Amino acid sequence: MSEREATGTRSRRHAARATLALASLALVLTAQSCPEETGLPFERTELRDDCEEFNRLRNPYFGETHAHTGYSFDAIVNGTRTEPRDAYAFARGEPLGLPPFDAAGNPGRVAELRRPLDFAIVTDHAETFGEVDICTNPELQLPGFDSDECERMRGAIGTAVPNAGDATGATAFFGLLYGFILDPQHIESICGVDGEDCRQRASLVWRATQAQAEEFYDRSAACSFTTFVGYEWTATPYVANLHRNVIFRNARVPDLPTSYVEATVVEDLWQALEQDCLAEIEGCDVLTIPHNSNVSLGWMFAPESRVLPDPPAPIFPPPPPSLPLTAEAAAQRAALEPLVEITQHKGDSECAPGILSNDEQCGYEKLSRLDLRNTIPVSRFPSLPFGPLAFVRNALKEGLVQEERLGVNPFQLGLIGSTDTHNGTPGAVREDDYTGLGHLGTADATPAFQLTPLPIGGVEANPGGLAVVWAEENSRDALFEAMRRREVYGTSGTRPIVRFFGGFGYSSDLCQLPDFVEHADRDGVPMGGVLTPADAAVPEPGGPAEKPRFAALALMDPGAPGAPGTPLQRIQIVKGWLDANGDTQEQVFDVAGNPLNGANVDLATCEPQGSGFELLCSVWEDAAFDPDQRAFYYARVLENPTCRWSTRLCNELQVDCSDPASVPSEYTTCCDGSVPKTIQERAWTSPIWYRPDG
Amino acid sequence: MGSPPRTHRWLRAPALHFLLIGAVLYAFDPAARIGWGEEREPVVIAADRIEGALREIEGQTGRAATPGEVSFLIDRLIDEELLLREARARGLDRGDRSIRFRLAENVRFLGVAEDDDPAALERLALELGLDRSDPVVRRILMEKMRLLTMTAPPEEAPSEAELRSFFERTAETYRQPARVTLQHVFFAAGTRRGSLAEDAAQALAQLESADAPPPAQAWRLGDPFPPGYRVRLASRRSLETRFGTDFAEAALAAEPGRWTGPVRSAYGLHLVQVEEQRPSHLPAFESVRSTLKARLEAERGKARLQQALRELRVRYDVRVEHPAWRAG
Repeated sequence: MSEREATGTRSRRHAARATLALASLALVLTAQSCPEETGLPFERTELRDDCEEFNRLRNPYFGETHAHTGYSFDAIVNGTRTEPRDAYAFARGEPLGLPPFDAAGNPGRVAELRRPLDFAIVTDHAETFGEVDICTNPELQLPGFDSDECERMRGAIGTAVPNAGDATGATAFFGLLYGFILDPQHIESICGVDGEDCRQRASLVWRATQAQAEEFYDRSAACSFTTFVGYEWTATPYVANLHRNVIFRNARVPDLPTSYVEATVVEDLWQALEQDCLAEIEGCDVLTIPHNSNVSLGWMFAPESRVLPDPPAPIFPPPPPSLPLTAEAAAQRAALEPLVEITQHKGDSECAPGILSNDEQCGYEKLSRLDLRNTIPVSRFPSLPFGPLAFVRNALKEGLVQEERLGVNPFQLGLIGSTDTHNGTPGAVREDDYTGLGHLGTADATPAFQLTPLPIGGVEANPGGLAVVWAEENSRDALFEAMRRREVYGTSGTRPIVRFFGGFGYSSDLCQLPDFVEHADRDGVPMGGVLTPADAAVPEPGGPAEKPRFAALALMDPGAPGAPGTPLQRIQIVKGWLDANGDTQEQVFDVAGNPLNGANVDLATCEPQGSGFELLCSVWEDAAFDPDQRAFYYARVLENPTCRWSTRLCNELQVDCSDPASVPSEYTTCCDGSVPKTIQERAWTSPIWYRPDG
Repeated sequence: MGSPPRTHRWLRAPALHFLLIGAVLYAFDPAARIGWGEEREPVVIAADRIEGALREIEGQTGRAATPGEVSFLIDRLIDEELLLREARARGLDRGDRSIRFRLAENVRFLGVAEDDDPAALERLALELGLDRSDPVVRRILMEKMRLLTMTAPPEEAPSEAELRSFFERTAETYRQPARVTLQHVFFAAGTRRGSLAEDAAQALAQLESADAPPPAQAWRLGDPFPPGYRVRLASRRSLETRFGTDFAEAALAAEPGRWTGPVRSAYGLHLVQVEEQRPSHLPAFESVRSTLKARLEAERGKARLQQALRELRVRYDVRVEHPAWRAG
């Protein structure tokens, strides 16, 4: 396995040494002096200043990995007019006009973040980016224009390149190409059907996406804002959501994104990324992030290759059968897909009550309470089940099963949150302004739309969450490497600061030490890491094995002026493991705070009642630890209850559920007992894994 | 259309990304049927097209558009139609995989295809006129034409002098934030409760007295703060993220070297000693060169687009069937 799979801080230092030479080389190129440290712990792959805020022990950066703009067709049809630059400006704190627009183009609504983001990634659906021929568009200034293929194509047509501004010339040229004038078979013999073999392509939308990411990436020492070039691969076979966001490390990216048009199964996407990025472009690096496994019908984490869900019969042609998962396929997946969105606008995917979990906190923001059939107006679709592997916790457990079988864990996933906004509003996550803004342009711009019983876009939708990355500085390389090593956590939208470390030999008073982080980091691994028996002290002959301890620290969201954060209720640790019979198990432990602190919220005013904790820190030992059993541990931090957005909206609308006759029909979900009145905002850290075989 | 309300609502749902049946809505829009190779035909913005767009806008905004606003709308419809027409004239609708894919999906969804051969699906889509009517295909074409128009030829890339002058014009945008390095002593609101303010005041008095502990031991006067007692070169944003706004303000205003406070954070009270202050300043040109280039090109792209649209209006005979429009 690669270094990123290796364990402990020792290997991290080793990796740091291995990259020191490259990093030093990059430092020579940068315009300002290097940080206090003697080298960077990550590889600098681009030209930029070092960050003044460099911190070897890492800073928390709050951001968004999943935002759509008007470049996405499902955003534009709902009136969204943004471009990526508008989304990035919004993430940096500038106001943004939202639809409906009046006839003169003035927005009906304006959104603004109370607190800007540190980073954002625009991920528009690549399937409708469109393409242009490089060969016929000299103004694109792409090197392909002078390539042999383009020369051949133009030669085959036997005409000069048309003047770019001359429509008649261009038309004649294409008329020739498509056989209006020349014998079509002549073209076909040289260039294939439709000239396909002679064609070199570019996507203008993809180029614009890159250029606008550059416009907003701060390469100065201020490191105030980071963008990444990304897109969404949008596979929805038979309504099973298998979508992935594709995130590139730096500005070196393939000429064309691989969309669902080119790759209909995710293995083809990964293969294309390996070929077009990792193999062909020096310095290119990439990762993918799946989302909404909750509506994948259980297919997102199926332990198979080339999965195409069962189609509802009759449909043609029948999909080819999936293949058994091999160690090679699992390794490809593990290398390219280190993270998953655990929550977003279209629901939470952590776990679901009764689906291999009996954790009472699994009911949070579930779409499952309503039948997904309601979203599909075509009667031929049968009832759609929520398979166990629709949920991330079950996928993490399945990963242990596959690791036992294959030696590789295909589902070793770090956890983040996102919005999946289709308004171009990354980080618009507040419950108290979601009611005015929504995420779907005009489609959820009114109370009536927002309160429909439909699972998606209606009352079951939510504002979504944030991704938090622990990185040495706010630069693409530092953030990307942190995402790759999974030192990230997700929140449901608030901004608590959470650290989570695991190790053998932590002292029980770690939280009292003045250099907690230094100790925890040195003697263990941070969230996303892997522990092995080599990290533990060798037990005395016949003596008990050392048990791992986990240090969890959570600081409440400090809030913003006029909008204080909500105090914490407790920290939990979720353990999943593979028992001696090869069955997966899970257990949830309260490790800090108080689940019975009595805090609540006045539903009529949404005022919080009772107190909670500003700061929680705990060292927890897994007393039931068995050194022979695979396991993972992640921390979940719960805030005190607050009003759900729908409760705020129903209050605003003055819906009186005690008088059912007075409730307008479009607001009946206000009085539907299955729609929760309160939520507990939360954070989920990436897990720490224990692997007995090192 | 006569669709039941629930289906209408569903159209707005994002889940079925590839099953959008918007094509059906637009299939009979006469303005959508502007033909390939007919680029010398006049660009007609039909009265019912304008009325349809107005009805949609007025339905969303809940008020009638003023005549001035209607002119804006007509301008936008003309621009869109010109971009579309020019895109087709340049053949941007041919051989595009996104468009082919979209058309095939539409035909599949309509359930009128007899087999699933991509070529057959595309043929059928063209017979049904979906390439002219589908709103997504139209949007792809408009966007391609718009972005193509905004692309500058190589000889017009910004020169060094132009970049420097652009920097001078926009330098404040790139101002580097002030930073402080500080250490602090923490008093936990949760554990001290009633004695919080008094405890912090006493510790401050001790820090200012002759028997103050050495700086590295100052934290011992307060409570454990596991994130640490020293913050290095933090900006306002970074302090706000970690401690809240009040703390950030106080830390940035504190006089270096002296203990100040108590300063309130979300977690309790702090005594703060600033070790180093770095004032806000403008960056070197080289530090923001690539940003400047990207932004200047974007600015010029917008101007190129406006110019191109003006030229297209001259090249095509634009006819607007609406009383609010006065040609020229």
